[in-house]
Amino acid sequence: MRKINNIAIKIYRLLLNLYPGSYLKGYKTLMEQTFRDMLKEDNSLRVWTKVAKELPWSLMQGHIENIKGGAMEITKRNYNLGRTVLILGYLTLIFWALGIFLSIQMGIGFISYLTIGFFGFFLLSSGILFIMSLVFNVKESKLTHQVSRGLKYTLIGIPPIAFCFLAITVKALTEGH
Amino acid sequence: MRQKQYRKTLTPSVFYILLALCNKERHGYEIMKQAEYDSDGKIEMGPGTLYGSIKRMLADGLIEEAYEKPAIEPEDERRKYYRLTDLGRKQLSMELDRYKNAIMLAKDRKLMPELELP
Repeated sequence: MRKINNIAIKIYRLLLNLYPGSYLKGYKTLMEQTFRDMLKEDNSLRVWTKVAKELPWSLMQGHIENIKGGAMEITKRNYNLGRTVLILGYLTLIFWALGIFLSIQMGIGFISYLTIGFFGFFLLSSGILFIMSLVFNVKESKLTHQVSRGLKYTLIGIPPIAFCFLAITVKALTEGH
Repeated sequence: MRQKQYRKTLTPSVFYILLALCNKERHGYEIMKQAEYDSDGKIEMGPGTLYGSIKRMLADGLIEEAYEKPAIEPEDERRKYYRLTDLGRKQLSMELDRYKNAIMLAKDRKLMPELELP
């Protein structure tokens, strides 16, 4: 019985890794101890049923809290968002240029379609992340009364994103005539 | 110490956790058992739900860690005991008042004819 319980504890410990690290901070040992207590006083089938019932919901809650900044450090999240916008912005520009170059050099074919596909994906992602990053970083900057690093990165990311949006708008308008 | 006015309606888990802590400092598993007992088995929490609620309640200032552990057991060092704060006690009593009012109304409107309230 003790061996079965030890295996159960090991499995539960593995399951705990599904929670975001920052959410578990300070609670992992306590959750494990509570699980041990449950196994000691109840039958394992009932314990696992209870865990299985609550796990999806509590995992979802943990990850949502983590994304919302409840557990994750807000400054770090905003910084990461800003940096991602910057990288995606310039990647979009690179793929735009590559798409133009390839369609001139090789004509319209699989590779140019692929490049244009990547360009579209990066443009869409950078657009969405740009708005998110701007909102979160402006909020943080207002709170701290200084321009956050995430906001600086977001602002540096504006030119390539704006250029690409402008380029496809112009292309769409001129091709219409 | 955060002493903000707590206005949220309590979730069933939070309510039963507050109720479990109203007269005794308890550790996680004790809270879980007491909540299950008090709710006639309707509130079944696992460690994830329990510590998720505890974490939020600590942040909201409804409960706090009890630094002096009330009982000495071999595994006590790995456990944390929690107790109600003044804000938590106030919130619990507000919630109980709300329930009491609802029961009075239900009685007045003959929704619970079997209920005899003083």
